[in-house]
Amino acid sequence: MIMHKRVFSGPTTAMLIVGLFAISVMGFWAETNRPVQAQKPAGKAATADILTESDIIDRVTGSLDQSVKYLASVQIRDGSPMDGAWDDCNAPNALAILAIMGRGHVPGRGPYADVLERGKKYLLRTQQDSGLFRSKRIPGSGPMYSHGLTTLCMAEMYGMDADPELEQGLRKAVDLIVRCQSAKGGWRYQPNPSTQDVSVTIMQVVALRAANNAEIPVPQQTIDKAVGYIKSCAHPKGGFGYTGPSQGPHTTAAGILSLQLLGHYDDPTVTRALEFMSKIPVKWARARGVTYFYYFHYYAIQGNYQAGGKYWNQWHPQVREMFLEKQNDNGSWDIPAGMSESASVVGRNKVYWTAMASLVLEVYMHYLPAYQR
Amino acid sequence: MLERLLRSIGVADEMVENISDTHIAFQRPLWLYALILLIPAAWFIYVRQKANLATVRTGLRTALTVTRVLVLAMLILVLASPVLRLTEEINKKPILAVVFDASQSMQLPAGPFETDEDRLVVARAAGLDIGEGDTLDEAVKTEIESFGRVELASLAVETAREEVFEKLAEKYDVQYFAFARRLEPLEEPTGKAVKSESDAAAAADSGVTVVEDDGKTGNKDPGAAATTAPPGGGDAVAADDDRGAIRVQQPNASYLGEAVLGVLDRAAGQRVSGLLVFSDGQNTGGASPADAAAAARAYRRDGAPVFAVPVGSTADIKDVAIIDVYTSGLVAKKDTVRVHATIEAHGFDGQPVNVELVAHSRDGEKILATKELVLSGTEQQQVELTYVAEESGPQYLEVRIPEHPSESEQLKANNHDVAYVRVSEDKLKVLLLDGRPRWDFRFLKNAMRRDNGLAGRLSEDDPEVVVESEWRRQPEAEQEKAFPRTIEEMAEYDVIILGDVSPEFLTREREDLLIRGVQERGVGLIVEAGPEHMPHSFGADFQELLPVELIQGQPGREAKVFEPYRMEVSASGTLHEAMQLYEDTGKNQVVWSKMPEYYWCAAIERPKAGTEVLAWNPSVELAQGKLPLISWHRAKAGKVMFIATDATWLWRRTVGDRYFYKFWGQSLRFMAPRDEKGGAKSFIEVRPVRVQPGEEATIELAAFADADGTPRNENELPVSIEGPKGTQSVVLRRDARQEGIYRGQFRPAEPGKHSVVFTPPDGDPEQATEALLNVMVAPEEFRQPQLNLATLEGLSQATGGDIIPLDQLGSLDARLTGKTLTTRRQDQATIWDNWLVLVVLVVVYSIDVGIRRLMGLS
Repeated sequence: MIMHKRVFSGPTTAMLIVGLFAISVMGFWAETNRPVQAQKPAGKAATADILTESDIIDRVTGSLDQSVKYLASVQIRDGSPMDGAWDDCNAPNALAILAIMGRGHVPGRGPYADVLERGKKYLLRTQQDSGLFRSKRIPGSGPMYSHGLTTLCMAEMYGMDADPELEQGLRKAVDLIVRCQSAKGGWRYQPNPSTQDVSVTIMQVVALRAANNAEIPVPQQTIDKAVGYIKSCAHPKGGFGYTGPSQGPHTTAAGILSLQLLGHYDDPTVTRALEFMSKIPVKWARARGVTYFYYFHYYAIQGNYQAGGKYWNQWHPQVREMFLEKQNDNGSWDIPAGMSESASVVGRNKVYWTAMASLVLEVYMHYLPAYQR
Repeated sequence: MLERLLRSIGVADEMVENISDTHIAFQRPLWLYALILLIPAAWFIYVRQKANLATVRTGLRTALTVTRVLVLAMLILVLASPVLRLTEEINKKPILAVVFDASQSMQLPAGPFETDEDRLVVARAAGLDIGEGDTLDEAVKTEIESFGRVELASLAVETAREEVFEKLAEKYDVQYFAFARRLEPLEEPTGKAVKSESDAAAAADSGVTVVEDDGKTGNKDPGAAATTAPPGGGDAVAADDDRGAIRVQQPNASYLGEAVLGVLDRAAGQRVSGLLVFSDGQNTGGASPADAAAAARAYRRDGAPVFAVPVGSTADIKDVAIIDVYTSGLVAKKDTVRVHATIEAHGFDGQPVNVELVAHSRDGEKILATKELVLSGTEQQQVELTYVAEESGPQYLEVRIPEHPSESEQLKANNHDVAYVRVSEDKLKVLLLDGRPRWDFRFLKNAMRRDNGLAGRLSEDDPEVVVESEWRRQPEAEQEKAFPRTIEEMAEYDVIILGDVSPEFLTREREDLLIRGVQERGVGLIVEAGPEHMPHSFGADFQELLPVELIQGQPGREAKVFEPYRMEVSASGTLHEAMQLYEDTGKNQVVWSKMPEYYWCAAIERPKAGTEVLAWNPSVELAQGKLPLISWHRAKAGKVMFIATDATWLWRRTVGDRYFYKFWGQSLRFMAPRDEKGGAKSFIEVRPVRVQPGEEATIELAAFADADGTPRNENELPVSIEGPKGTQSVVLRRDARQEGIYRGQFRPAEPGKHSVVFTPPDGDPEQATEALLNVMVAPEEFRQPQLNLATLEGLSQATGGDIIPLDQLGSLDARLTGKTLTTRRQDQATIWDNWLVLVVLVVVYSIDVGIRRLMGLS
């Protein structure tokens, strides 16, 4: 698959892609801003498909409490320049913060206030004057995955944290994303408007929409161009490709969600892609080309949630039970054998895996504003 | 003789029965020495009388001497304070509590039984004649499958009556109870086998007596409510004596855990050798079996083991149930009404069904929406049904799934439910202001934009939304537009939501305009507190507007990290329209009580006089009680609500906007000055729209005399209620404070759909209206109706007890521990201070005096 060769050629890049892609989905969900609202179909409810069974709720919340505890326990807290980080790449750091906030812990309050404060300060320390969040370890392909993800994280913190540095950093990060959009409407690895792919593009769009949900102005033209580019990658038989029409499972899941979050619930490309994705088996192993396990499942459960009805009913119990069953006693998660998000790829892998698994289960929490319909 | 004497000196009857030894003693024995002096005293008396009564016969003189000596002797004995020393021997038997589940689910058939082994257990337990060997003929099998659960439990106890229970009664204090929502003691078993009221017809066929409850009122006479059934006749009993019957209670949820706790509570520290619990293992309310097991395990030193007798079958019972129906409650005309139904199915995995949304009117029913659902046996499923509201006013909708022939009769009742929406004629104009894009702001603005019943002053589609952090960055001309500049502009809004804005945004001038808008023009104001400015950064005039008194200079209260704040809905809040998450007040209260904990609230000192507190923060104790978390009051023409937390987004946990925006949406409607019911057409509201038999529903009628909206003025108006067993009339009385509003109560007896119909006295068809009321037996009872063996096993094993099959009740004796405890207690009863001594004294003295008078002696 082309995407594998070009995008995930380096370990760090792969890690970022997985993390960023997954996160981008969350962000996409965030917005119900005016331009998007205008496209909101009448048949879509804000409260459909909830979790009602108390024993399942207890198991999910218990699992997430454990995972958040685990993430807090492995944060670097030694007063060094890495204090507040989990990894020397911003992607897992931002993911960890989002996973903690996704369980309902916000800056300044509760048992994880200090964890979130240190994490935020670390991320802000990595920001350059240009607005780019440039972490110590840069993926071989470039910093834009991490930047989009970190911007999303900052956008979610903003509003619950009165820190003026946070607001300033977020605005600069958003400006950078807007400036780096390519002529076709996408983004790529480097902070310049030269070229584009779906994976990096979705990440930036999610960050922009999360910021816009926080009332930070984003040009509508920027969003519209990005949507146009994502749609151009739809395959006529269902699915989305990496840089053009194709049927990759990962980009299909991401493409579905991105269009749903932009209000295109009933778009034929989305319906066909949902049908295509529904045939992919849910199992703790490699299945039908799913090699980026967490990346796929993060997008897939969110896409099925947005679709609701039979897609959601058939999908989420399998995914939920799989992740609940596979959680380690200390609250963390591992990864099935043979996946591309292996330990050699994703650095302090359990942070990434655990944060991603938490974000999958946090579909039931409805806490991060970026996730709302 | 001794017993009579003891009773005559005041010893209690219960004690007399247990006396094993008695002897006399004296409290002041030194006085007995005075008896020695009686000898010379007697001689002296005799000599004196001999001298004074020389003409009297010797015998009489001696008698007079004896009486006087006797009086003296008795006085001396009284001074010595004689007492009777008693030894009481008490034999205390340990308690064996026999507890019967009399909840709604126990009405269900005990079967289906899948194996002959299971059927043999039932046959032996029920005392059926099965002949030799282990084979059952078809007639017996049919009879076994006809047993209800309560009936089967009764038969099992009856079968074991002589061999088991009468022998147990020799060693144990056997106490009988029945429970559903309450635990109630039973009379001594009278030998009845009993089913429940709704099985009456079936019982007639099966030869089993059915004892019916007072269905008309839903109230049960506790004394006659329940009794066990050790039989004398086993399967048929005279119907004219129902004292020995286990009857299904109303309301009828299964409070199994509460029942165990109740038995321990009643034992009051006395040794409990065991609880023999006949149940299907359902626990649908009250304390959990785990909590009850912990209490039983910790009871006294030895614990109180639970021996569970499973009644029923673990085989899947086929059922499709609508277990929850939810609507946003309030929509605008032309808006899309969304009804969410939660469905649970057993035994129909993979089968498609049509879920229908039906509107009922005088003209019949109309299907508004249908959705096909492929049933899953693994967990609950949700279905969303939508339609466009074409008319304003209250609307009662039915969600239903066609009944399946293989569902049992009782379980077909949960194939439908009722939903209620109120459709408003006009859109509310709303302004949302906040200092920063807090999460509450982000969720609320989007939810409000989805609410087609809301608009703004400047937009007919969306409410206006302003966040100060962006407002600051706008040009001055734009900034000016963000807030109303005149009282007329202000009065265009129905409700303003004021978040954590600073005094730089809400300047003194704007503050005055806002206060005037509320007090003079009736604009509704919802203030949501925030740690930066709201409301502590504002002066006395603004704080005067609020329904609470604040601690001056304190920005807020922070909870300790590991002691977050809780939320507690108030009694009036449970019923308040802003807080109604569910029609069922009990469910509403439970949902609010389980809202997630939070870490910050405003620094409130107390609610002001006239304030209605809808929810409390019980974690903070103020001088005058708990901290008011959500409250409102009238501020002249307008209403002001104060929300002391900024974390209502936490209410989204696992349900998204469901509770979060139901609260906010209803609060907006409540705070708005206009009457949304509007119009001039009569309408009825029944709240709640779903009750259990015996529970009360309130009927409210807005009655107009004509199309111009003239309210009716009769003191009373009748409505008819058409239920499954006929029509009855309920008289509604006029509300003295609201013209044209009539209210009354109705307590349905029968489950099923009830139509509440108002026909105007003058017969105007335009003003006729109706509402729906769904009467359901506790729906949770039928959610997973098969025997829950795991619960019973957990309960018994955690308490040191065991599972006892129905046909092995005889094994209980060997498993019980605890012997009769004999205790001896010393007591004493005073002899001299009772009426008997007084009588003797008076009699002796009277004899002396009488003789002297009769004989003319001085």
